[in-house]
Amino acid sequence: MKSYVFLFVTLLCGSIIFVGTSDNKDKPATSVRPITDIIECQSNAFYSPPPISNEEFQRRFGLEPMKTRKNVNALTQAEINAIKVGLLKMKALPYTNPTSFGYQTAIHGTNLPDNLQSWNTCHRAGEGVFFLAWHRMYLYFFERILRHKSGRADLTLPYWDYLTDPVLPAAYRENSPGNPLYMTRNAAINGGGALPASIITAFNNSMAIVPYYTFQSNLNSGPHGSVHTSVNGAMAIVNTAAVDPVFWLHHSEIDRLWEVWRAMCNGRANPVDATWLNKSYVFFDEFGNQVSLTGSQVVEISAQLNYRYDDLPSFPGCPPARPAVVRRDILITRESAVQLNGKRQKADFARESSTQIDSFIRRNNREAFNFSDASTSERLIMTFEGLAVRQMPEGVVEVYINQPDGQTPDFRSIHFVGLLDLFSAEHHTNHHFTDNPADEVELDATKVAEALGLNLNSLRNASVSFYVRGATLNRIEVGTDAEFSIRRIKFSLERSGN
Amino acid sequence: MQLIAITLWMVMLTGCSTGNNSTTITNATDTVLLYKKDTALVAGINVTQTILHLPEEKKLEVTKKGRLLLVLDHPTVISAPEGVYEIYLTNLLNDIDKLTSSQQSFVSLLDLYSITAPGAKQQVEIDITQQVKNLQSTGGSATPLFAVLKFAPVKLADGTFSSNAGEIHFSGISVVQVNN
Repeated sequence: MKSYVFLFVTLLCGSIIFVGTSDNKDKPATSVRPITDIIECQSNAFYSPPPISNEEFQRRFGLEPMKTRKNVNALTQAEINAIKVGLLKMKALPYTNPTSFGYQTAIHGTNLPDNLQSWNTCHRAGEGVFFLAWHRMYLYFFERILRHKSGRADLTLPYWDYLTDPVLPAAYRENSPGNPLYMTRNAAINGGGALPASIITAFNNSMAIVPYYTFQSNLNSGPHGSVHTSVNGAMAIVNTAAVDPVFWLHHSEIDRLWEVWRAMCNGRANPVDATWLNKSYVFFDEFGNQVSLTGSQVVEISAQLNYRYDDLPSFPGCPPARPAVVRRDILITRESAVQLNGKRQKADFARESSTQIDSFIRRNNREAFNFSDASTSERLIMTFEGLAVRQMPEGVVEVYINQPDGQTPDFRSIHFVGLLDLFSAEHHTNHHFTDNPADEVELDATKVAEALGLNLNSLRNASVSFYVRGATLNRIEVGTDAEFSIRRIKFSLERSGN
Repeated sequence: MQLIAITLWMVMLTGCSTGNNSTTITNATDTVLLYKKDTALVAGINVTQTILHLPEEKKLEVTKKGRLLLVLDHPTVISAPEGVYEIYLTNLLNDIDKLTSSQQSFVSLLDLYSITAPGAKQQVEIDITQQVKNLQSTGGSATPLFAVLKFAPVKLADGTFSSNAGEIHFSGISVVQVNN
């Protein structure tokens, strides 16, 4: 077993720091680097070692099985217990040990006078642009330490999806002796109260923002901070926030929402400026080794950090930019307006004119779709024009093609196309945004058409169904209705190239 | 739902000091359009109503690169609310009791967390550019302007709402045009 001791002379603070590191994966779990070799840096200056390469990162951290971060409400009792064990073991260590709970939480912020390596690095002045990236790195290494202490190889930090269940999970509210998840907080929250609904609105408003830095700033300053102060107790103060186990639930959710935002595509993308990509922060791994990550090393969580979220694809990615020349042929249009006032509605195309389908078939001499031809990237697009929202549901509106009568719509079925984005429509309509038509929403129905085996002629008798599904509260769907109208629905075939 | 609405009263600024010494967010090109210094604007106890009146010649204009900020100085949490404070901008006084976060007058939530960071500016800055644009596009004029802080409580497990709105003090409020 090799170990190395590096001597760094930090000109900025004029102190000497001995940092023991080891990159051996077989290092015994009990071999935690002695922390007495850290000499306190009296300055606020920050030592930032050169970033390690991606190859070195992979070598150092290995290619372990993909870890999945789960909704906290989906955890088994054994998984909750593992988190408790990990926390208790971390808390048993002296706060000067980099893998201790005290040290780790002080990285976020602390009232202790010691200014140990990496302490108080969250919320440093002028570094707000790294809010999401810093917390992603912070959680990543905290999670590794917690996993290691827990002895459970598949442990991950769960997330609290307060957008669908705004009640703090029971395991964190049980004031039982020795429960490390419990803390004194806002009595209403610890009593099973729900976060105010406007927090959800504020999060949704943030997600609608496309430029990364604006999105991040909006997310950080409004809804993120309001969850902190609503939970209250240690969570309400930057220097103590990470002490509350709810902090880790909250920031897993923030990290997940960053991924959700990316998956919404339509121009949403992580920064590409060198300042952000190369910004490096120092943390500690499960063996107490000093490690660093840069912005460029945390942009793809599955590929680079080996984790994913249970409700998101492993490698979320947006479709490549389509060629500038895209041809779109309207196939069939439902000219009769659709009104939904309640829970569900169905719109048939059987009585609509299908002359455009006839024309397309004649011109192209085919009745089948050609989705598999990569040269044309053919897609079946549904366009909902004149979408006017009068009542937003406390949930979502699901869209189905050829949903069988008498069956409850199931979003896991082959009929499910996607969600009707009422929020954007309402937002655009009421907020007078000008970057998109205010009342038009599109869905890609290609996969459904493939799964249902549709061809061009099938569209003559197609039906489109809308189903209002309430948000889940305590695993029970909230009863909710919606009221909106759609002036026109179109099926179009989009093709590029040639 | 019990709601406590607090509107912040801004005085008319006509040729008087605009209180540039009140804020640190400005630079030489920024303009403090409105400023009111109060010993205590209390959210959670008193319901005070304040109207933003701009002089005729001083419009709330949103330039292409500029932003309008509502700045709350030195927020001090005397007691924490069991809930959040929603921020609204509206030019219809009658609407105040009916404000909900799904409306376009909803700006954001009052972030009392970030200011607890050591060295953080003791100001809450809220970008109101879009809301002012909205008001101008619907009614022509963005004044008079009502900045409303409304308490949104936690919903308790028994289905009722918390009545603890807490107590928060501000030393001053301003509207600043930032040209960047």
